[in-house]
Amino acid sequence: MSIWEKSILLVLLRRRLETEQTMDWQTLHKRDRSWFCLQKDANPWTVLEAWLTQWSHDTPRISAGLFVYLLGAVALVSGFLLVTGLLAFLTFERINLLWFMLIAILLPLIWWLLALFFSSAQVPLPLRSLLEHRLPQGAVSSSLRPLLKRTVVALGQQLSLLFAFGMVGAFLLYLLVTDLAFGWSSTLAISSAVIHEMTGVISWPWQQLWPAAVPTRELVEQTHYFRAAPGMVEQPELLGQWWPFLLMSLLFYVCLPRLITALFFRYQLKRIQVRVWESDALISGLWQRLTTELIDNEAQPVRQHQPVKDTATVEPLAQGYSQIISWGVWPEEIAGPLRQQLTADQASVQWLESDSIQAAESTLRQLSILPDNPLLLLCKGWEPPTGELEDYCNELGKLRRQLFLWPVPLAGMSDERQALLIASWQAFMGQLPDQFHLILRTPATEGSDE
Amino acid sequence: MSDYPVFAVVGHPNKGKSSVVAALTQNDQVKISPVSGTTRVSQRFALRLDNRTVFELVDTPGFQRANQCLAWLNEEPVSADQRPVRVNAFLQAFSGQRRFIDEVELLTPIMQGAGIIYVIDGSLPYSPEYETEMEILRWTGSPRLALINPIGGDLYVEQWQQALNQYFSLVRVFDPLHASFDQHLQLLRTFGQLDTQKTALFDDAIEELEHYRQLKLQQAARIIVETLHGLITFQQSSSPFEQLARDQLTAILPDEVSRFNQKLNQMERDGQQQLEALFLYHHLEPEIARLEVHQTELMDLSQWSFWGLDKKQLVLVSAGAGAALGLLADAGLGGASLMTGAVSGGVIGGLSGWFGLDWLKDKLPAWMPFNKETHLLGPVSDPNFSFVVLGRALSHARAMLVRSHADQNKLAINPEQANAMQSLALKEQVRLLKQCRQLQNDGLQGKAAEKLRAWVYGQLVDRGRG
Repeated sequence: MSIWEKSILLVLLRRRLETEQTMDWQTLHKRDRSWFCLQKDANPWTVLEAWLTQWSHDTPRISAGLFVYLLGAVALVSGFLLVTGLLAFLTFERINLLWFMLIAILLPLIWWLLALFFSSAQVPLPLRSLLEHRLPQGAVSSSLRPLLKRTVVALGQQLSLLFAFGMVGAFLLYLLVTDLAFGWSSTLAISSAVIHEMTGVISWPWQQLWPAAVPTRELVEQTHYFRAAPGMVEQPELLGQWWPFLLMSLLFYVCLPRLITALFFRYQLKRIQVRVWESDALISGLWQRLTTELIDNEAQPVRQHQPVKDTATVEPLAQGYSQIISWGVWPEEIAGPLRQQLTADQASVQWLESDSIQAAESTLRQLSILPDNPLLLLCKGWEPPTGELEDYCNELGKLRRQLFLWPVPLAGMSDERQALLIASWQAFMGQLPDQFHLILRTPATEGSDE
Repeated sequence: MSDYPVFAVVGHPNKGKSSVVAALTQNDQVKISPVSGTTRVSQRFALRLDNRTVFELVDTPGFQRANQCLAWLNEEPVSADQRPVRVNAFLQAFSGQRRFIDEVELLTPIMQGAGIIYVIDGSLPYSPEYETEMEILRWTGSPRLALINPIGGDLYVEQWQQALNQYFSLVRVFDPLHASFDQHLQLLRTFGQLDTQKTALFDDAIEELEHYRQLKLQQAARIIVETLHGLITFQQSSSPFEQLARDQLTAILPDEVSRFNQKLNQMERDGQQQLEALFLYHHLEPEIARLEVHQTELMDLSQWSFWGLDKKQLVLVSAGAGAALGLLADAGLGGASLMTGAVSGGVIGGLSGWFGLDWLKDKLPAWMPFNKETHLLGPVSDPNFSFVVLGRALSHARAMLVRSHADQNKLAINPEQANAMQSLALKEQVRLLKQCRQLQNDGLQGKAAEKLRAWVYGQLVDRGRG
């Protein structure tokens, strides 16, 4: 996958992932991991591309790689055509050296400097003016703007490099197959000495490397021509001797800076792609989901009981119950005071304890021979009702016409907790015979009683 | 019998069995009801690693007729080694019948090989009635662990410990509503001790869980820093301003500021929801005050741009163009001018750009592409804003990290926690402020973002252990 395709992949991935960023992580992990386990390709970029393709197979995407190759070809041909134009446009059978240098060397050099300036801006010019205003809202996440910027800059540098290569290619081709005659001419009265000095400065970098590519004073003087006197030259072969200088100028001032910056920005792009991969919350999250084992909590689907809404008759605790049964084993520190309180007014209260199966059966036998008076059943209000209590209440229902169930609260328990327990007791009343009345003595009613 | 450990969570009704299951499986979709007897059917919750089950928890109904069940078991005298057979006979006798429907549901997974996790409420007094349940569990012959769940306090925990030690080889206190992640892992290690043949399996699972947690915290740090970046760089382009005369700006500015605040809160909530999705909370409603910035705290400027460049950049281009022309003149003079052309061209270009662009702005036709004036509101200029955002994000994340999946209340965020950033050492505060500023400039791929992520991760790890 090309470096450009990687950038586009990251942008598209981010856009896709933004649509599901608040979805349950577990669901996404399950989906992505099971997909990843079926993949055979080990290349992470290819895996990510395949992941994205499964969601966007219905929208055909133009291959970014092909698009860049096409752009590259256009850049190469444009460079070639520029130099072809410069070399083919002959005035007086000579190619004006100054004109050639201005267009083929100075202009690309200025272009390169301007590109450097714009690439240092927050958003580079081509992106800002040509792309950003035209992109639909949300097409590129603001968090990926640096990636897009570096992609555009690196692409610009690469295309410019190809343009420069096209120029050099055309120059070499013309050198080989035609007879190029260079001379220099200017309306301004520029002396040969100035031109020689200038070319000397320009060729300073390679003067040791290739002395033949440094124009001599003689060459400069001999190739000076005038529009008004386009006469024959004494030594025509001199006109062709400019080519090493021009070739080196093209290589050194056009190709080399582009090559350096193209490599540099390409390296920067690669680095930011890795950073985006590692640091972008959505993209790195996706990679994490793909590559880490799925820890899943699978729940067996079952249908649970729906608690019945309370319809119980709730009454305050009254005085004068002549039959009282305590259900379960009670701590003495609670049972003692309670017994004292409830039997204080009458000496003839029947107090029965049902703290085991045998005791329960015994109390039922005793009740069957006692008169059918209202009966108070005391339960531990801090414990929830059980099936055994339900069975017992059903038996009591057969023996008494009026029954009161009091879940006695535990002293010191919070109101909130108490309310939750009462909810269980209220729901429980729905399972009991109609003779049962629920007694609730909440702290609030206790306060009002006092 | 399965090749992975299975544990049946059993006990008296309404003792928090489902809460224990919800907390240990980190699943807030486990049905938890304050009303007793909601769980009537056993439900299995498996912890899986890539389709390999590591262990399974079975949420069971509470004992409803424990005395009658034990009485049935005792009806025939059996030796200790035959007690599990007798329990199986009980299951066969009452399977499908209404009478012992809960006991059958509860005992079936145990008799199929599940270990026992017996849950009691440590805030209520011990009662000998529980001995019936413990005795039935002893009859099954399965490995047993008792969990004291201090639902409403730990007043009776000691009392319970003394009683439970007589029936269970392992007794632990575990508060499913407030247990930290480390406490969860500790409890899972205890499960491994209960089934010694599968200890290694548990150790592997715990290692995986720890690794998984680390990855999630790193992901949380990325989300927090990304949200922070979004909030501190948010700029609202106020399009209505473009059509209005300047004297009308003051009238509509309060509405624009309110829209700005609305967007900020929405962005913050988006980040929070990402975190909630990450930590698998489906029904959270965080209770936290809204973010509110005032007009005075916002950058408020009109920006004219041409070809996407603002005035500063255009001046630089103008200066560059001037310098280039000057350089050409220098070249024409063969360098004899000693670069005077380039320097003066640059200065003239820069100055004409600076003074001329404002004049040019009004002269350019409105239809010209990429020539527009935008009124921008934001980003928030107060450097403390990043602190506020970071503090709020950390408070939200921390509140979630210490929250159990068994807790089904609103996510309460302590307002003091949101100001916890102020309690950091001054040196650290300065460093963080600097990094936030760099984050604003360099973006999410810069070094500052990396450092902030590391810092946030450290904060979350500390809180996860706390």
